[in-house]
Amino acid sequence: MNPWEKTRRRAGDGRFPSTHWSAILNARTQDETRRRLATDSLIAGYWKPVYCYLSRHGCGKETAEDLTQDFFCEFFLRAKLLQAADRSIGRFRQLLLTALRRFAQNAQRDRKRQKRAPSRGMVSLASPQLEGIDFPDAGATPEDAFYYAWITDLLDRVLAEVKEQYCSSRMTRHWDVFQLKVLAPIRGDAEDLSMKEICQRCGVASEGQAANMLITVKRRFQTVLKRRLRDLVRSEAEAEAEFREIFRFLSGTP
Amino acid sequence: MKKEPTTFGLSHEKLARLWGVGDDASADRAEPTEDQRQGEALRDQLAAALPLDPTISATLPEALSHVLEEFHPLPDSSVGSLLLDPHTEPAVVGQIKDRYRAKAESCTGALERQAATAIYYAAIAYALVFQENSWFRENRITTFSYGQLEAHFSQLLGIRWLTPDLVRLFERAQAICREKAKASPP
Repeated sequence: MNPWEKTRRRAGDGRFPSTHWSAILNARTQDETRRRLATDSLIAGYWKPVYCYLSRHGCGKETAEDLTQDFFCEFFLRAKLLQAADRSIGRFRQLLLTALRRFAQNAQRDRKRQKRAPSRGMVSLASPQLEGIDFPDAGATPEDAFYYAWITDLLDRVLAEVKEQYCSSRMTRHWDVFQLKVLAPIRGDAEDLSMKEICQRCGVASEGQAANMLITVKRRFQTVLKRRLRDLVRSEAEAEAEFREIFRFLSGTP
Repeated sequence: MKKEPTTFGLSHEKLARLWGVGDDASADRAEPTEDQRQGEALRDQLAAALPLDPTISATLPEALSHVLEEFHPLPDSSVGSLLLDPHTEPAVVGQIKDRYRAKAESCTGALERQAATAIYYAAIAYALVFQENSWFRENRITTFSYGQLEAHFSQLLGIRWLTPDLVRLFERAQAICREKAKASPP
């Protein structure tokens, strides 16, 4: 029998678990190990946006860090926010932002607020991510800062995944071409090299081959980015809308 | 350890260019080849978590899907990583085989179906390659004969869109099947 010869018994619904929502659901379970792993993963994913929001809310760096820890203790470790999260009512990010807005207002009001230490032993919130966090747009609103940090975190994860896929499957040259032709010029690390120069540096036989490699990685980037966006919302249409909305935010177009 | 560069700190304009990289790729003239599309489909399925049992999930109302997700055993491990890890539980390998067989049978798209079939055979290859696990020694994961499996692996190795990891896995499994087929002819 040919390995591809398979009967089609019925149409599948193609329902795959959502990693993001699995983490939210796992963070609510009674299983301590799963809960802790899920909570750590969610905090790692939202730490920087929350910190940036609070930094732009008129707090100094140290206060913003303390408040970030307080926020996660209150809404994640005590599970208030996680209990309220429901995929059917929309984006988790929006829910978190609403809670954060309320939290920041209360914190501002309560000037004599006693700092609360995070619940030791449950999760470490001492974050190395603090290093180098200087929001580039001094005039940004707290919401913009939150959104910006969330987008850059998403892009970092997408790039890391794409890089890992190519480098672990011995297609490092694909990644090198993408890195030199796309990433380095955007990051400002290097000027935009010609395909000829890229071929020489990466050991690619022809410019046509390098161009094909570039398109392959760009498509991969697009696929991973859209899959991660899809993971956050309820439908393909919402993911597409999210994609366009973020592009509008970044490009400043209405 | 070298710190990975971050996009945090880049201007909105630069981030918009990076964001657009995804979008403009589809506007590039050169259409991906069939092999490239198939390779993408395979990598997508390998990067996903182990799918829930379709025979259960398909019979439950949408409102209960979160319950299934909550009890999902391995939400954070990709199928690809499970098939490369020598310590993956035999029961999980069995689940991969069963789920991807069901997926291959139910998929309507050719790309998805062929990718799922490759993963189905990868689970069988895994069981052959990692037979030092006593469970796999005592329980065969498939009813195919070693001769049939060798032929299937040979066909699989003839396709160009497999990931290098799967090629190595199929090569090792094929060699094992050849030995075993010689040792115990039908």
